[in-house]
Amino acid sequence: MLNAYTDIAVFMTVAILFIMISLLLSRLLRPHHPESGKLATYECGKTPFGDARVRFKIRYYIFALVFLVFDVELLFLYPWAVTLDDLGIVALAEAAVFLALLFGGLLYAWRKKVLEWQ
Amino acid sequence: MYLAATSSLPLRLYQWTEQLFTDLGLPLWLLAVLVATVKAALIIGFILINVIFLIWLERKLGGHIQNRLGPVYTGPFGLLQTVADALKVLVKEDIIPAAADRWVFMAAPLVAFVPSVMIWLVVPFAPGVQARDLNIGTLYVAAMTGCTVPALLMAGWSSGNKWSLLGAFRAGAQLVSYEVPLILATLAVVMLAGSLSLNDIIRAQQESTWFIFLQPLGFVVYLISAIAELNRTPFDLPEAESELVAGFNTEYSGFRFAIFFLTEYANLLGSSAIAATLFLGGWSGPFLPPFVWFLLKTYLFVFLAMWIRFTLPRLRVDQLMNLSWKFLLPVALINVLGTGVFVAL
Amino acid sequence: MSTTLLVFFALAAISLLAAWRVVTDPQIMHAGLWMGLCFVGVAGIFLLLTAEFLAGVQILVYVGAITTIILFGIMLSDVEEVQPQEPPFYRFRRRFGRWWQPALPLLVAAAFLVALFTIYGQAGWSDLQPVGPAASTPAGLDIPAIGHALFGPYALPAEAASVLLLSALLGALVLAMREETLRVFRGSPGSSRVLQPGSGMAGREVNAGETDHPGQDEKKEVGAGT
Repeated sequence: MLNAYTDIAVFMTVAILFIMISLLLSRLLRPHHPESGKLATYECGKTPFGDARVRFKIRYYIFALVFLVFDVELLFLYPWAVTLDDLGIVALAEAAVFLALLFGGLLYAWRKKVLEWQ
Repeated sequence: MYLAATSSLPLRLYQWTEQLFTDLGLPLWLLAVLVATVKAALIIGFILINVIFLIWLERKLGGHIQNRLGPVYTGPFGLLQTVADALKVLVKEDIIPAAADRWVFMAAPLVAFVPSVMIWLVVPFAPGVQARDLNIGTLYVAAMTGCTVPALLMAGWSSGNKWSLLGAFRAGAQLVSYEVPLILATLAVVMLAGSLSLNDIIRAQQESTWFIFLQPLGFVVYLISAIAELNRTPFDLPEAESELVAGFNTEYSGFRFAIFFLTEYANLLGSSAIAATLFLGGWSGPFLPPFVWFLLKTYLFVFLAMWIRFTLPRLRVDQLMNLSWKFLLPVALINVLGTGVFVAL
Repeated sequence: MSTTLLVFFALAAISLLAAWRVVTDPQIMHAGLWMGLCFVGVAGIFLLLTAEFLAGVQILVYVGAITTIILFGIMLSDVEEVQPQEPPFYRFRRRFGRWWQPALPLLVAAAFLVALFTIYGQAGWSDLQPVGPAASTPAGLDIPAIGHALFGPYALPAEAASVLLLSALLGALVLAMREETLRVFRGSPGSSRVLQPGSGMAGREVNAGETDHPGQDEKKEVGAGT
């Protein structure tokens, strides 16, 4: 039963087990002598200062948001790409409108210099 | 013949096991799990052997491109250098920094590695030699590739190191930017084949021609985006040694670091295999056995990626972002629409 | 029947546990990661229903993109600001005497449950026959069928989705441009670029994790009142 998808689950499990077993093997072989200098955060040999989880530019977030929008667009295009042969010119026109709207958004972002990296 | 010999032995083995299961009265789903486990183990073995070879190849190739020799001492032509390195790293101390978020830190290599293995579920090695031909083949590959970003963010954030965090941010922004053109380039191939299944895509190429000739633009977009997805030079900003130490895996040591390294090369191999399947007709080809064709085409991409790595300098962040959003994305969109006109008419 | 059911319960347990941790984990970054796990569990349930396209989309969009955005959002916002200093449900426990505090979310959840069951009851899914081991994807769930539906009878909703996506894109751009203005404003106080009064961005830090802006809400309320 459910042969097609057991494989996915089994692959996942075997990959996890492979890593677990290798780590276990390594644990038996490797030394373990922690001390404060070794466990310190690496900052090029200097004493680390401040919290490492500092805030970075929001620009990263903007790119992630734009990516999400295009990702969702792609999921509409998957069934379209498979069936375009049957659906013909009408579906092509629909997808063209679909893409043109988003491409317009991209052009707007381009013009407003949001896609620049400072 | 080669093909008959390889395909009949596993088949007989399978039939024998099936008989054993029915004799012992064991449930059949257990057989399915067993078969899948064997497949997964074989594929992990395949990945490991190839990665060991790939690392040697990269060092050797890089050496010769830069007028050096590369590894020479361990084994013939230094072939066993990677084996020695792997053994070394296995007995190295595993340091988890005091500032690290322990559980996330330990889980991150796992989350990175598992998708890189799972991609191989749908890769066709030869006719009939494929772990599972999913109907959603290319979508599955894209989905698995997409899982890398959370893994890198986990690694970078949990390390409690500023380099790691910055590296993870860069990696995230980069992977996210290049995933859209990558998928769009794949979609153009899907449109020509009319199916998401990788087997159907190979079949479609046997009927017409290799899609690289029909999709030159798509191929270029795929190549650039794939190299960027792999974080390789010229797109290796997330781990730029000269500015970020080692990026998201700065704090990783010992075998956990090795897992990231392994994942990187497994992904290189996986992307190359997918590219060979999508654009070069996969295992199909004259004279030679299909599996040899598959390896040859895969390694052609690997070689291309390595050649590019040792030839081009690293991009700046703004160039990186411009290339994706202002060049690759519009080109890929136009390519998809152009292919659409070609297919629909 | 038993194996499928067992797998379903395992997946459901993973998803529910992960979802529970999302709302209870005091470390917000962990909550984001638990959410990723919850999505993976849901993808598994989709696979169990042989809705493989949906499962792929679930991983691609939810695990690959949404989780990334949430993690980015958390990492880019001030952690001290967001991190709760109190244990979960502290306020609930403190004010347990006020009956509506626990009752309100429960009421919303109950209403949602009723609505879901009404919809599911009308969908007639209970009439569907279980798929045998030989059959692969049942008709209606495979990708060509989705394509035919999406660009045939449901073309207009699909186009509307594009408009929705466009508005989301514009929203992201507005966020970016607000940050831009803020940067210019902060960087050079005597700059020639002047912030427009009443735009709600002066002196206010644009927080990556926030999506609601009080300024806009006020405007909306005024608009609704008149």
